[in-house]
Amino acid sequence: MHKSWLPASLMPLVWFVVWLVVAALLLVNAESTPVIGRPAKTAGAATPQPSPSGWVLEAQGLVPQPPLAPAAHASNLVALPTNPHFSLAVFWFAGSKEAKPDVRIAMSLWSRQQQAWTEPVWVVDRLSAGRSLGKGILHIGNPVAWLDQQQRLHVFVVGTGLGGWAASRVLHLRQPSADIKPAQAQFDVIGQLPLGWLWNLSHLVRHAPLPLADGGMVLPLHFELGKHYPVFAWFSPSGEFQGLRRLAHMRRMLQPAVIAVDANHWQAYMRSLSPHDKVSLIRSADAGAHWSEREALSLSNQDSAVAAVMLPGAGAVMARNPYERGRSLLVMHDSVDGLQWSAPQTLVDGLPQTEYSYPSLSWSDDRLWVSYTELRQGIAWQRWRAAPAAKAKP
Amino acid sequence: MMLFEYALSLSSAVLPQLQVQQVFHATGWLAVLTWLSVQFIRVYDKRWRWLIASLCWLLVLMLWQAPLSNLGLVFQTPSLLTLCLCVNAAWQDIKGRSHLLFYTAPTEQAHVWIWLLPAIAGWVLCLDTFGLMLWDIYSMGFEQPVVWLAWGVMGVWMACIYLFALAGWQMQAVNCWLVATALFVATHAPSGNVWDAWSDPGLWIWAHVKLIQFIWRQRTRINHS
Repeated sequence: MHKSWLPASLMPLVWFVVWLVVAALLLVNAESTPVIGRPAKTAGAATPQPSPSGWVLEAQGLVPQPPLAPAAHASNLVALPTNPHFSLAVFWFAGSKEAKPDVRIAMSLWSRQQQAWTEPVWVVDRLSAGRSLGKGILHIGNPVAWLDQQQRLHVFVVGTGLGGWAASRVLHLRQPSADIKPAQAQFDVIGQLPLGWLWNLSHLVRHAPLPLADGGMVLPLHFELGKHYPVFAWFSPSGEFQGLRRLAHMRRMLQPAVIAVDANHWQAYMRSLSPHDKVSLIRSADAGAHWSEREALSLSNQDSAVAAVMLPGAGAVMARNPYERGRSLLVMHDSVDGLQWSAPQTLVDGLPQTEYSYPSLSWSDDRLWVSYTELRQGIAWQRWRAAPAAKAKP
Repeated sequence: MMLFEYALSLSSAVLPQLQVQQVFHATGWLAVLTWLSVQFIRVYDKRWRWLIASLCWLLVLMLWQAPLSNLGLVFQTPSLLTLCLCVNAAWQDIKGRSHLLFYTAPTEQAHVWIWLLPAIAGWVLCLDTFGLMLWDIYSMGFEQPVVWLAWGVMGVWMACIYLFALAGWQMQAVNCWLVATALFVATHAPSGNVWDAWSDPGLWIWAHVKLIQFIWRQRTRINHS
């Protein structure tokens, strides 16, 4: 006779206890406050102030490129307001060519003392990230950085599986401490963001997160297998993933660049694949809980990245490649309400068939900073000062 | 006490810690690879099949990182339900009187329509991925109401099994689901989303294989009768 380790009559009791344990754990971990719908961080201006009607270029140049890396793309700027030594960090991917196995993520810091970018350091490569994760990664790219409440840098990186960019997942890396060293970047792999059920395929990140009032943030992402739609992920002040909103009913929109007009009214501008060739716009009136598609802006766009950033007080700045010139012309606009945009101000005007693309914007030390891909060979930067309205007029 | 606090810390964040992810990644694939191998090993004592296959794969995965890494690259991590179903299959084979050589314990076959559940769930989640559902189903997997609903369904199902003395395979099915859910609420493995704990594309595909096999056999029977 087969002997069981537990009398059969007790088995129902065991399963009943397991069932109760599940309920107990659910009760212990019950969320006290809703994750989605938390207000965005705003400058606190009671009344909107007019945005500057003119911008003065103060400085520009190229971020030093790592040795033996002839290709560079997809830079992302992040301000370091409390750091005494560095005011900005820029991340980008560099290597022999986009989507090659040797592509790595590079970082450089803007030194307050030397007023220059530090020599770039490698942050992560696909092999080390794959080892930490326990899952292979074919290529990496599109770094997006964020500074948490403990002043630790987080970097979100696209890592591809079999099938190139369409088979991408998003990796999350974080500094172990707030100490940022220009000569040595140390980032720990936290994990992959869970963004979809189907092998977590085809999710990418490109633009800067939207800071929340409680110190958390919302990371804009997108899905791009077959149809393209935006996705937003919520994070706690310490950078823990909290929840997701997938705007799967939307079509042909990717790489959302999100700004908060006020705490609850958010807008996201998107690279458009629509036939109308305009910058796509979606809006939320309840801090990201619900989104609706709005009429596209009058600004042209066709399959090139759009960047946007809120200015302190009020107003916003956007950078884009006008459709008429492909990616050889990069311009910026400013706006008070994020809907009506000023005439374009040229950031760079290149020869036909050249590429100045993938802009990133950041506000730091009372200046607007712009970085962008230059000819797919390097990362260029510019620093702009807002000119008061009266002085800006010719 | 410390163990309890540790368990609480594991389940308080939405995402599981990286070490927890790695443990479930390795365990899940060990279970799946063992189960797959058992289907092909020609040893009549099923107990030995499981022992040989699991030891071989354990050795391979410990000595060679590439298989786990590449399986993760392509297929990510098996769901907890897949893990539980593999363990349940092993347990059903092991607990029988297989100490007698060439003896295979008769196992009770689950009704094939149970595979409709993972098949339908997979289709819903697949269509949701491509934005073809009315609601954002996958995102709901981060929120508790879905787990509470499942908890209620499991409770009712278990009660029905005892009250109406339903078939034993139903008990196995609900127990697998319950253990997968318990592991999820305790660790949030494999991804922090309950849909990833209950289902994965591999299980979804296997559910289709079972359904197609059943339909094919039914058709063959009809043709021969």
